[in-house]
Amino acid sequence: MSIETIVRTACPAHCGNNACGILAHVCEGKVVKLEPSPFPDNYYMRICQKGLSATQLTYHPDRLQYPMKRAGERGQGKWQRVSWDEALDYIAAKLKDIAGKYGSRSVAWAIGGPGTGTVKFGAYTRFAGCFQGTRVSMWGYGDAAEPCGAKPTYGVNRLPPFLSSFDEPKLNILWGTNPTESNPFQIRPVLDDKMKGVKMVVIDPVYTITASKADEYVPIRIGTDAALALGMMHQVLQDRMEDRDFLLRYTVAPYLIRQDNGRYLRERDLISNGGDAYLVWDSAAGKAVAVDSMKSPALDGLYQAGNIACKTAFQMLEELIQEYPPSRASEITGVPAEQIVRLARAYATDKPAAIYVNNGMSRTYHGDLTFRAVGTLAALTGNVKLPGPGGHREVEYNWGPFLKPRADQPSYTRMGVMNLYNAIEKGEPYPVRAAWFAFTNFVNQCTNNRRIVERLFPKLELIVMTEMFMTPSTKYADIVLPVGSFLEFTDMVNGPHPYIQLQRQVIPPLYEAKSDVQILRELAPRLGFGEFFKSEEEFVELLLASGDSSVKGITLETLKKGPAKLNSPPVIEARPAKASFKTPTGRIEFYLEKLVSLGEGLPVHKEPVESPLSPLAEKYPLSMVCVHSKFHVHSSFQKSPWMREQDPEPLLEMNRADADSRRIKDADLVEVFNDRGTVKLKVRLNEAIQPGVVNLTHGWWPEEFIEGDLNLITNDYINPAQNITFEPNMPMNDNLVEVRKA
Amino acid sequence: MPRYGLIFDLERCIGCRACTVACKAENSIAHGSWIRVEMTGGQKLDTAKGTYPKVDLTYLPVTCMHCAKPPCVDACPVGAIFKRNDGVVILDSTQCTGCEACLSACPFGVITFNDKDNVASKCHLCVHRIDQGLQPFCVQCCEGQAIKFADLSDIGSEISKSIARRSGYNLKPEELTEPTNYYLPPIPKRPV
Repeated sequence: MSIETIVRTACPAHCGNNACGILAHVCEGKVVKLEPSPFPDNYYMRICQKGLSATQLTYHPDRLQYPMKRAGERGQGKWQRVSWDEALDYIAAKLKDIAGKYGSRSVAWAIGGPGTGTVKFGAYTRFAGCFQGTRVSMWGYGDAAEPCGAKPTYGVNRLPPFLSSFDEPKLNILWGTNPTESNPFQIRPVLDDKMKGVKMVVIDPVYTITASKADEYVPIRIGTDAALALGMMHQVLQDRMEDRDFLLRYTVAPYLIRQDNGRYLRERDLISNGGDAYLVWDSAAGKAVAVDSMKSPALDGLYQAGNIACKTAFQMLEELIQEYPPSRASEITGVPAEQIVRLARAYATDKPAAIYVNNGMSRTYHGDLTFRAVGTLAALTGNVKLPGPGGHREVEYNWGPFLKPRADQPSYTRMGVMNLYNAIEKGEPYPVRAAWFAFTNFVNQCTNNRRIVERLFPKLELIVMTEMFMTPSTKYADIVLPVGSFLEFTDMVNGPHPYIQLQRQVIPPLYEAKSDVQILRELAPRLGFGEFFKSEEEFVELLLASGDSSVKGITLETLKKGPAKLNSPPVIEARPAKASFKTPTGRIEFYLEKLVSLGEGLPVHKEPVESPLSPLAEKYPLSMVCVHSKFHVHSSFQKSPWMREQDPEPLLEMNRADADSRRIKDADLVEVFNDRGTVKLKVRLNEAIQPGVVNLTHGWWPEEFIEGDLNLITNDYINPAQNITFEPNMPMNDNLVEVRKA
Repeated sequence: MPRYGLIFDLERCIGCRACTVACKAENSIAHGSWIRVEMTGGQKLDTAKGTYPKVDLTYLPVTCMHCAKPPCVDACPVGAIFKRNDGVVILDSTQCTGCEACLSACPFGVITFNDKDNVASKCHLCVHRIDQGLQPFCVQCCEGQAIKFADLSDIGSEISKSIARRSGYNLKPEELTEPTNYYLPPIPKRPV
């Protein structure tokens, strides 16, 4: 009988920064089984259907085995096997040539997120830094609108630490997020709470599996969540349930806003040699005073400071909120007014009440306003878990020294992925002439992908991709380099919070595959910076040692023994005297002076860019969303037979009413189309889908459709506000389409 | 004498198919699985019933019920199916002649048939695991922690109490097979 060995590793499939611990059983050099790994607290012992089937990708007959160089035209699918030396020499020569002609920034590294492996992610970024190239940020692949809203408002990229991390919430609202399908283990605590009697509310345009678990489902029209938040805020004010103490202490509510130019009133506006101090109105003194010396600050009102008319930021917020009584919010959102009233009352009363958000709401054109509005609702009611002196203790690494190891020279230039379109096509803000894509199925996953193939790629003089398979994206590459599955190399992964884990190599890479880190390590000496590239394990050590307190004391050796718990955050009192948000004011900034010119100083509601209320809707009356499937993670696991057995083909989901009016029956072939393109596939009638909406689950490869693919019909409009606050996001849930029987 | 079975909490089942896939992986089942996921109310899988927004979507995992009176045991002409003392109903595929009589006898449709090898097979509660004190693999892998493995003869256990408290039920009691597996219905909705 052969001997079975077991290796503890972790699955970096990128269900957020939330990797599962895995035990890999190895028999005669082959991984024969994956199972959930124990944890110090077995609450975290878990695996999903995708993780269980991961070996099917490792041992898939279609694995890319050797470095391949394009032999025909791009997209033709003709390849020539080359050696690693040939491939890397070719790449190095081309990179030098392109950098010489257009500058080093003209070479861009467009990679996936750090959830797929911190070291892999870090190594590419470090490489882009050493090359002084362009590092393309992945936020805009669908997630950027959250930081666009959260960063200026709360000072962090993500709202959950503030809005949903209560130990014992009395109400759980899941707003625009469907963890049962997109991130299944996030539902466990919510279900646990529910079993203990904590009510659960789901706000979503689709009646998701998550919604089916809710005590109350709130059906909302796509992209109108800010209006719902404003309607709820209206009821909170009506009932006088706002948390004035919280607003005064931790938000910009008392700050004075100049009514002539919409900017915060500062000391220098009143005194010729004054400083930058923000001013508030001191009711007792009857004058504007610096925030630090406020004694009886006014929360509401219009004041004359010198000869400048000012209102408090809260006064302005209240005036906005007055425009959104539940009746109007109901007209906009489609949510019954009485439900808005009850929801607002419950949220303001059952404290602490949690709002769970994720990136779903990022995916309409004004997603940033949505996150700002939801964050403002939380602040208005004081349903905010306050940050401690060092901020919230999510996993943090001190990325700086790792990503930018050469203090003696400039590093990479960061560019949001949506801005890459214009950089390649139009040379704005500067030309990009070579691109390297790693752990991203770029063509498959990016919106308006016809533009990528027809107008972007022809401008690139070099396209490199690392992949496990020939994908819809590699088709257009000049060089494709084979990488191993996660079982074939080591990395470090985040999660499940509060743990980090080693994704430990279980078997050597198959065929001629290498890890991304190894590829960069072999390429770097050819470009003159080999000394900065090391093995995966050395990189793990370097990243851990680079010095954030959350991982202090955790070493490679610790991680080899099992998951390591992050250091606990410092305990703070429930309501510290001073706010310590990482914003310019240190407070929650629901008012943003830098967006005043766009009419977005406050979290207003704006219609989706392809709204059913727009003229375009006469031609294309249906809103299309692309929800995430429980059977794939983005575009991966497409090739797993076990997943395909459960979910054989892409389906357009639509409501019976919309199907009937188009004489479409269940399982008919249909065409989904707009001015950007047409997709042909089978339809599935589903009452979980709102009338006026269709859903096409994202991630399917073009070859699975009868014709076309999802991202032919999605849009790539850039929201200028998002370029001011952070980076623009792909609004993949903001599309108008029409459907006809094929 | 123990009486082993599975308890499915429909409040916690999220229809993910981790059980289905875990069973395939653990028991090397090429096609299909010994545990499948259905919907209550007979709607097509993964779709809601009702009219939006008044809709409902409840999953129902189904596998061998390890009946107290298993009709498959009596139906098998070669004695390849038997009930262990601990209640687990075992189908020994090595003795199976492929007559499919058990498939017809089972009211739950949980016996699978492999045309290639001409043998029937079904859930055996991962006896190779439970005999070592481990959980059946579907229980181990359940994302919603909806499946519990339990000794139903222990009427004082937490599981037995939860069955009583939440009005747990068997499928198809009218078939008089006395299934061991129980289902806990979803918790009634409580509007905010």
